[in-house]
Parts: sequence; C-alpha cells; structure tokens
Amino acid sequence: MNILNCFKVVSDLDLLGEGDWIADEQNNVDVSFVRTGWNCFDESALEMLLKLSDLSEGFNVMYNLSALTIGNEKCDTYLKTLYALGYQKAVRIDCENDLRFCSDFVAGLIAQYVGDQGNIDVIITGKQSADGENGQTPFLLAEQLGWPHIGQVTMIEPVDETCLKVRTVTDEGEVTQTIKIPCILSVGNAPNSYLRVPTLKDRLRLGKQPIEVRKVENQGAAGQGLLKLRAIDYRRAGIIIEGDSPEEKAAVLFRQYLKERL
Amino acid sequence: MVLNGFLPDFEKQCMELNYFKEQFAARMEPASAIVICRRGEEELIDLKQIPAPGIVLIPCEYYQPEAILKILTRQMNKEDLYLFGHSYGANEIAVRAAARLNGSSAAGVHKIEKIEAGMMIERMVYSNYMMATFLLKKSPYCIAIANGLGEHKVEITYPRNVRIAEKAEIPDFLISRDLHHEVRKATLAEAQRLIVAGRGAGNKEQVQELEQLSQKIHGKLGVSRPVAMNAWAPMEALVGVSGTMTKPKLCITVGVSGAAAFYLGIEKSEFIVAINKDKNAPIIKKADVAIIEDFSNVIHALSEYIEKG
Amino acid sequence: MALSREQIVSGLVRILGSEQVITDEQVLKESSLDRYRKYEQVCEVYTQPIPAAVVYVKSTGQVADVMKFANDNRINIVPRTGHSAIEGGLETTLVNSVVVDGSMMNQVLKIDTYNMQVTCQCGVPLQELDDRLREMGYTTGHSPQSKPLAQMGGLVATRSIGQFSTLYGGIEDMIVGLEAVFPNGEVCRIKNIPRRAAGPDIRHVIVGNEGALCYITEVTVKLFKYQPENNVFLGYILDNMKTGFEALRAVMVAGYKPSIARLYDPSDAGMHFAHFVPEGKCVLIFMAEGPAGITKATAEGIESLIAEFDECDAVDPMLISKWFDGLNWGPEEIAQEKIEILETKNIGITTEVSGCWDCIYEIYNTVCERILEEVPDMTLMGGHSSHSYINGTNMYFVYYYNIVDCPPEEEINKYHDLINQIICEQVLKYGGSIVHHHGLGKARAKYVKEEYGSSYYILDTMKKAYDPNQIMNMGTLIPVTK
Repeated sequence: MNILNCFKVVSDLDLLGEGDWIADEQNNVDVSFVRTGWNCFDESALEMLLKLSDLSEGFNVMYNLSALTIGNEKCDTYLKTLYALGYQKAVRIDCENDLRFCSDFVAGLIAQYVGDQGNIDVIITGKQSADGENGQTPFLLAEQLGWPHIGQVTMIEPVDETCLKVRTVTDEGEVTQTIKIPCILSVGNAPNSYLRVPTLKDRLRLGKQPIEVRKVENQGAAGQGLLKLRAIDYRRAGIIIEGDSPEEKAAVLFRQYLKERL
Repeated sequence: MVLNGFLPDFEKQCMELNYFKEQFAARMEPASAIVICRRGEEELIDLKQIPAPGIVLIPCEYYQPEAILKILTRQMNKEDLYLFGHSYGANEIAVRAAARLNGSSAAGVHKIEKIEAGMMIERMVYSNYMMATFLLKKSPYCIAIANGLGEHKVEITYPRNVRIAEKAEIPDFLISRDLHHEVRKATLAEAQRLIVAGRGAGNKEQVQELEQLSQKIHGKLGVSRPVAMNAWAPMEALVGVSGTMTKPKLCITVGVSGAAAFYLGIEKSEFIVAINKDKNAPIIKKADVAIIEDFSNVIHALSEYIEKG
Repeated sequence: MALSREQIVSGLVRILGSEQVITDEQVLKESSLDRYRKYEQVCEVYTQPIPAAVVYVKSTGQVADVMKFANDNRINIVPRTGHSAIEGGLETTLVNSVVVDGSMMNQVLKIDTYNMQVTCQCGVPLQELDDRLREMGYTTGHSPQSKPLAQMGGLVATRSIGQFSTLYGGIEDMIVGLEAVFPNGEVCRIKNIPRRAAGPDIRHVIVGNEGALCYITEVTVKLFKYQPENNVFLGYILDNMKTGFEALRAVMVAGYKPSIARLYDPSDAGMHFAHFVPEGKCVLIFMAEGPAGITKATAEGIESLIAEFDECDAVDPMLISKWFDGLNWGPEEIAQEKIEILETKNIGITTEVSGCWDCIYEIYNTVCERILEEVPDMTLMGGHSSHSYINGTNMYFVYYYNIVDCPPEEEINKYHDLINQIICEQVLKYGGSIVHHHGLGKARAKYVKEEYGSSYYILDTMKKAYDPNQIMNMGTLIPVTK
C-alpha cells in the first residue's frame, strides 16, 4: 500500500518575543531568525506512519511510505531525516511563494502530484499549519481528488491491502473505523506521537538517497485575500507575589486573592 | 446556519450561533437553519432552541461528512451566508460545502463584515499570536465560527416550520464503525474554577495530585498540550484552541509556560493565577498574579489553607 | 558505630529544628542525584542510596554545627545550592548521606559600587543577582547556561565559567573574598582585597573544591559596568574545524578580548543554526562587549583578521544576536526536554574538555571518530569551542543517542560512561584536561590520578588534611575505594 505523507516545515513561533510580532507592508512577519521544525500535527502523522509500518509484519501488507513537502532547499534536511527513518521516497515541490494562506493552491499541488504518480493509495497530513492555521488543506484535497476523508486521526492499524483501521476523535467520542482505500487522513492532537530520531549510521546508510525536486508551473498562488495582520496583546497585571518561602507565598495568595473567590 | 444535532449540548451550539448572528449578521434576512440529526430521532430536536423560522432536518445514521455533504449542498443557495459551529464536523463540512458550491470558507472566525467587494472575516493566525483580516470574494460564504466567542439565549417566539430532507446514506467506503468512548456533556467548558497542569507539573502522579486539588475547590482539571500528548492526563482535559475553551471565574495554572494557542483556552478567565518556576515564562505577564516557585510546596501549603477554609 | 537514619535525623532536628530537616520520600529520592544521571532522573528511577535527610541551613553558624555533628559521627555531607550540577557532584554515594542545602541563605549582603564588589550568601541565585545589578547599570559578567537555576555557592564550588569568559574570565578571576566552613567546624573568612602575595592564594583551596573540602557560605565577586548598548556581534560560516581553531587562535594571539568567541562543528551548528547555515558547515561567532571605543575596535580588528581566512563567509549579525537571546537553560526547557526524552527515548548529553592549540583539533577529531565507531545508537556527535585563551581553548562535546533495549538503570553503563571514557582517554593521550568547567564530580573522578599525574599528591594531601574523617561529598574528585 502506497502512503503519501504531506508535511510542512515551520518556524518555531514560540521563540519570538513580544516585540517581534510586527507585520510589514506586505503583511509578512520576519521569522528568519528563529529555528524551524516539523509542523506539530505533521510530526504526529509522520510518526503514526512509522508505527503503522512497525505493526505491518503480521498482516501481509507492505507499506511503502513517501513524504512530500512544498518549499525551498532548506526543507531538504527534513526529507533526509525521513529517508534515514525508513521512508522510501522523499519529494520536494520547489516553491518560493508565500504559502501561508493558500490552502486551495497547496491542495492543488498535492492533487497534481498524486495524479501524476497514479499509484498513491492513502494521503495523510496534519490538520493545519502553525503559521497559516487555515485548517482547510485536507478538506480541499478531498474535494479536489474526490476521495473520502477522515479527520482527527489518533492511530492507524493494518488490516489488509484494501483498507486501514483508523482510530479518531470525533465530536461524539472516540471512534474506530475501517475505511477502504483510496482515502485521505488528517491528524490533530494525537498522544504519544513525537517523531523518533534516526541514528547516524542510518543517516549514512539511507539519508543520502536523492530527493526528487519538482518545479511548479504556475507560480501564481491564489491567496485567500489577506488584508491585515495585527499582534494580539494578552497582558494582564502580572503581579508577582513576594515572600520568603513557597509556603509564605501560598499564604499570601490564599488570603489576599483566593479566599474571596472560593 | 448549520447545526449539528448529534452534539450532546445542542442548546449551547444554538446560543453560540445566535450570539454570532446577533453580533455580525443582525441586519441580514432572517436566517434559516439546517440541522443534521440522528435518523429516527428527528422528533427529539428541540426546535425552540433554533434561532431561525425555517428549519430543514437532514437525518443520518451518524455524523458522516460525505453523506451529509451530498444532501446539504442541495439545500444551499449560491447567494447566501452560512454559519457553522466550531466542532470538528462543522469545520469539515463548512470548507467542503463551500468547495463543492464554488464559494469561499473560513474556520475559526471571530468576526465577519459584509462589504461591497465581498465578506471580510477575522481569524487567528501564527499560532494565535496574531489576528488576520481576509476578504472572501466568492459566495456562498461558509463560515465556521471560533470557539469561545459568546452565547446569546434564543428568545424567539415566532413559529418554526420544519421540513425533513432526504436522508443521508452512509457511503460504502466505510466498512465498519465503532464508537468507544462517548464524550460526556461539556464539563470543562462550564467549569467555574479550573486548575491547569502544564509540562512543569513533571509527571502523571503530580498531575493527578493537581486533579485532587481541583476537586477540593469544586473545580476541574485542565491540561496544556505537552501534558496531554505525553498521556499524563486524557486528551479530553486539553485546554486551548484545539481542546476546550474555558471561561472560569478562577483559573490557577501550574507549570504552564503560556504559549498563545494554549492561553486562548483560558483567556476569558476572570482571574488567572500562575505558578511557575521560571520568571521569564510568557504566562507570568498574562496572569493577574504569579508565584515564581517550584509548585509542589506552594500547592501543598495552598491545599492546607483551602481545607482549613 | 555508624548512626542509624533515625539517629541522624534526630541529631539534625536538635540542631536545626524539624522545619529545616526534610525527610519526605520524594524529596529524598530527587536529592540523591543530579543531571549526570539524566535518563534515570527523567524516568524517575533512583539507583543511588537515598539520603537520610535534606537539611536547609539559614546561617554560617548552622552550617558549622551541622558539619561538626557530621564530622563527629562520620556522616557523608553533600553541599548543594542550585541543584543544577551535571557531573554527579550531588549524588549521595554513601549510605545515609545528608544533603545540606544552602538555598535559603539567599541574601545579597552588600553591593559596593565604589569598590566594584558584591557580597552574597551562598544561596543567592545568579539570575536574580545579575538582573538586579543590571537594573543599576552593573553586571557580574558571569553567565553560564545554568544561570536561571544556579546559585553563588555552587558556582564557586565548581569553578564555573560563563558565556562571556573570554572577556571577564571564569569565576576564579571574578572571586574576591570568601567564607567557608570546614568539616571540623572551623569558619574561615578571606577578606576582600585586589591582590596579595602573602603566601599561596588560599582562595583556590576553596574555589573548585566541589564540596569535597569545605562548605562555601559567602562569596564576594567583582562588578563590571553593564553596557549592552555597545554590544557587537559577528558571525561566519566556514568549511572545517581545523580552520576554525586557527581563526580562534589568531584572534586570541593578536590580543583581542571578545566577550564571546565560539566555534561550532557541523553537527552542533545543525542544531542551532540550520535556519541560516547550510548543512555540513561550521559556524564561528564573536561578540564584543564593553565601552564603545573598545567594542568598535575589537569588532573591526576581528573582522579584518577573519577576512584573511578565505573560507569564512560573514552572516547577518542580527541572526546571531537573536539566537543568543534564547540560549539559556531554565525550568521550561528542562520540563520540555523531559517530555521529549520519555517519548522518543533519545537523549542529549555534554562533556567538556580543554587543550592547548596544538592538540585541540586532534582531540576533537579522534573523539568523534572513536565514539561513532564504538558506541551504538548514536544520533548526533559534535560540539563547539566556547572559551578561548592565549594558549588554547575548550571543546564542548554534544552527543545524542537512542536508548535501545535498555532499562534506565543500565543506560549509564551502556552509553554515557562509555562515551565519557572514550573522551577522557583521547584527551589524556594528547595532554589536554578531561574537565574544562563542569567539575570532575563523581562522573570523571575515576580518572583523577591520570589527570593530575604526579601532582595528585597535592590534591590527595589537601583532602586528607581538611577531611580526615571522610565526610565531605565522598566520591567527588577522588573516587571512593571499595
């Protein structure tokens, strides 16, 4: 079964200080000076597929894992890490566009890739990215391809070559469904899903495989009509309770602030 | 507006959509409502809660997006504005319905404003550190509202007329479905007092101790993402934009760093206390009062004071 | 006859009162180790003997009374302040030890801006002290990565060094006078003077003693003017470490004193600077600090010197300065690290060494080669140099590995100690020092004789003289002989 994982590399936004949240005239925020990382929901999806692969032995299914990202060559080190972890194919669609708020365009690029490949059975992705927070890409992809979609996936288990057992969180509760391929899965908050770390030996052995780089024909991404960006100020009084010991501070907290509220 | 009749708290959903409608769409034509409900339980829908005169029910065995979309899109008009709730299901069908009808959609919307060029919407971006304004140009506009905006009791006396649309059939790509663990009625969201454990709580046992403290103050325990991801508490206890949005009178955070996506989940608290070892943690400036200490001694002492009364 | 745990506790309660004597099981467990056994700590597995008590002392008098009690009854004492040690210095190696925690002695006693000195009790947190001084326009100049956690007593006891040492020096250059209590209860005060030649510098019996000779109760350190507005950052990308070391040496030999001079190898650079440095490249960083005329001249001088190395490409200094702001290691980082380690079973540790210019590259190169060859499950191996001198520099090895098929109790043998052994062997082979600034602790005490050679006589004699009853942090500096 061929599974394609679509992921995004994002800047570590929690590292920005209060004064850094300024948008320029093009509505861009400078995040060039902080390190990047896996988008958190995508990371869960990547690890989920590795766990699925770990489970595959008793089930007579071969899972062929590939990974796709859209961005510039700074993403390559992430793709190499995926090779080192056992992903069979790593692809980058080279694109310098501002992709923050164009889910439609991104879904289109993925759909085009899937169409060109012709042999992809399952697509999995995180539900939204840290910067854009659009929360639309997996849905739009489902509409563009006409494939079914299941969201909020927390675990995937093997069944056979025609379907997958998927555990999800829904509005009604936790649900396990068996779904036929082809299908699209998207991942929200899934416990125990930090991505494992490849050894240096695996990086040497597997990490040097070539990354397929594809160009985008139409570089004009139809944006979502971004008009304005402004920082949000959450500050409150921030009074720090003083005292000689934790117990003393707890006493002040209780007497001065909590007693009346409890 | 489009409502989910499967959710345990139907009334709350109606109040939230009513609030949004009053705030931003009051001057528009009276709304009609589409309610997706459980097949066989159409009679159970409390029509009085629905802030619209015309109601269409779409019955379905369970909430299955593809099945619902097929029927839903047939009920929708090109020129209109559709308001959806903030549940997982609502976000999904809002976006997909708009795509099918060649309209526009947005999820997590805080504000809308109809202008000549289209529909302006505001929603959070950059991990909730910023608010962005967008212009949507294509109707129908499918807007899934943000969680935690506000509620307005429905006090409409006009009669409702109800029509039942054709039922939504479960598609055959789904071979089986088991519901394990039903979600209880929203408790965290209603909690008046909250203790929130963050990664600084250190381990499962200490998180459980904090839960006990929350019970002592007749409140509830919430957790930040790292705690839920590490399974030190069930995912249901997650507070934040991708969990529960709370508005307690009192919120005490313990070992929480205070990143924006989490903080929004407690932002509406009347009074926030932060207990954190790190004076540079972002939560400190976003709290009303803070204690900079390792939490265990503080919590033990506090626990005693609370018991003595 | 050794006292029982109960007798130890009641003896301490008689001296300090029950409020200052802690016997809570969880506290005792957490006090039996430090970040040397990081994996055990994260998994909450405790392999060291659990101490009989943790006591909080509030005055020098109380320290003396506790020490006399311990000395009379041969109870092993582990001095502690910030609990941020990473080389096993805080491990309670002997059964029924007592941890003596000085963090309640947290008063800043005197800020003397005329003599440019500040006097603190041992439990003053460095972050608080320096924040307070900065508001007044001064600084201690001491900024180790543990700053958010560390306290003055421990910082002096471990001969700590900070990020700006190339300008301000290590703690040994900053220390003025001291007060310490010896095992027999003797309280010794060394006065505050700029320099003297009235015999050997006895402060250096205390500075770096790692709690194996005495308990530090008060320190006085120098003050410097705080002039961040004049800070200048410089950054370069280059191909290989050998050139990097040559560049560092050139800057030091030319006589420049940048406050920061750092060289990152490709692996370590990848963790910090991947957002602007291509894979496989080394990074060289400098910062100049101080009066405006000097920082300008220092920056210009370094710039023209580095320009002679063709390999070095300059980067936007803003990227370096922003990166630097996020470097310290506080409670938030430790909590996040714990979660990641438990989830991924991947752990990162550091070991730092030093060597003269002529051998440091060989040390770096052969250590990396051997570790990659001999240690299983490595996921990262690299490091950086962060403290340079006219005659050499340090090497701060950074390494990560997956813990595979290994219970927490076994991790230290399978991975951590094996790596330390390789590092120490290579360093000793090339004539460097196995410890630059983290302290010998208990982690590397087993190599103390090879590290000292014939001078071991001096250390050994001091230990026998000051601690004849063997009660001071046994296992630190000199291993316990079975």
